[in-house]
Amino acid sequence: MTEHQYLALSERLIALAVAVSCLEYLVRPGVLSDHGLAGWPVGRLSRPWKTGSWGWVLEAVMTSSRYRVVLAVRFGAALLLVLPWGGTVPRVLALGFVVVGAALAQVRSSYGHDGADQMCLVVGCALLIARVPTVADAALWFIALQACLAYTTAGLKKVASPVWRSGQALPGVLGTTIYGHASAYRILNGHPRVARLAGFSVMAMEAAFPLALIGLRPLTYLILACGLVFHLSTAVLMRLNTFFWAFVATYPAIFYVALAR
Amino acid sequence: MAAIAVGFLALWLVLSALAQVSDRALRAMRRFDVLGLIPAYNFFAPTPGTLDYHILVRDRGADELLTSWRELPYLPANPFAFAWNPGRRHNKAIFDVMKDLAVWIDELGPHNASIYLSTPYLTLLDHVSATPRTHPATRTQFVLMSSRRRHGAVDIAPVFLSSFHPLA
Repeated sequence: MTEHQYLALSERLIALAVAVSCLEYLVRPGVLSDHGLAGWPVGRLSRPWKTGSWGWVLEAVMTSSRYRVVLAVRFGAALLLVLPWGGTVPRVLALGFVVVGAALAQVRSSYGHDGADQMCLVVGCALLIARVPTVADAALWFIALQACLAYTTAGLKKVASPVWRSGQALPGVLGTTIYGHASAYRILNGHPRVARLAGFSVMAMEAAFPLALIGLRPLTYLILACGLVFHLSTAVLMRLNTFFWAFVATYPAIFYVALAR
Repeated sequence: MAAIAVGFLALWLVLSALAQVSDRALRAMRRFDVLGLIPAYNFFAPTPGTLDYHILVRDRGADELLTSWRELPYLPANPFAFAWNPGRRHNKAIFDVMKDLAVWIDELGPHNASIYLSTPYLTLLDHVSATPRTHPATRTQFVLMSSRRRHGAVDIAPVFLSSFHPLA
């Protein structure tokens, strides 16, 4: 595979995350409505520059009806990137719209976003910059290193936390309404050793993730397989559905940096 | 052009790494980071969110009688939420607003008037005021509660009680 094929694979995966995310907003737009928790009338007051001299530009796209159009176009752009056809220019424009839409979402309100949205913005920008001639290799390095930074930060911060080391973190999270899972909570709450083991497995996988880059093929495969299982588990147990696509979208870059150059 | 692009990616990576090491650096960068480019990768760490937050609302009518507290519900998950989870944005927004308000209360104290002009407070007030009502009401009040499941029991604690606010 060439570096451009790795980028194309990453682009399809990130586009899937964006397509699902946009469609979810379009199906349940209440949170973005004028009185929703991520509504624009209050969201625009959060920073002075949103109502300053550039305010009219934001008003043009951020009101709830117009923002739904932005979401619909962004969904269409993501869909185009998922599909295997489309010329270079339409694909670059679509990717540009996906990235601009991700930034607009951050500007509109800081409520309701998650780490998958953040990774979509980071990877999407890098993929767009990768279109500059001779930058593909640097962009793949950037994506791989951002992924390693994400996993390692999450892992080391968990290792430093007494709550995680005690084994109480996973039952605690799985007992909540928004990220919880009744059966998993019952099992982990009733078996503290299993909860501790599961917690340490998560910490070990995340903290050790950069080892995927050192170039040992079996180790890279093992760590990426663990990452896949981890994201499948969080999708099933915690309903973090777009995390799966957003983080797996960085794996082609990791594979390229570790093994394919 | 290529040199500028590579330089931009390198700078972005360095700033991203700095933001993970120091909360102060992250806060400083985010003041200028209007597009949300600087990530915070501390997922569920160091202290994971093990609390559920609840918004309860009551109203006062023209006759000064108070209604009972009622909770604004979370959106339920569907059986295919591992792949398709449209309710998660609303639920995450409740969590984010409450966490944001908790930070304001923690930094300023619960009786500081600035809280009433904060984004999370105004967001909640706007949302609560627009909630459909089956009864005539002139003013509304909300209370934020937290709950935590622990060893089969549920610990409940109040977080913040709002003032009464007139309804349009």
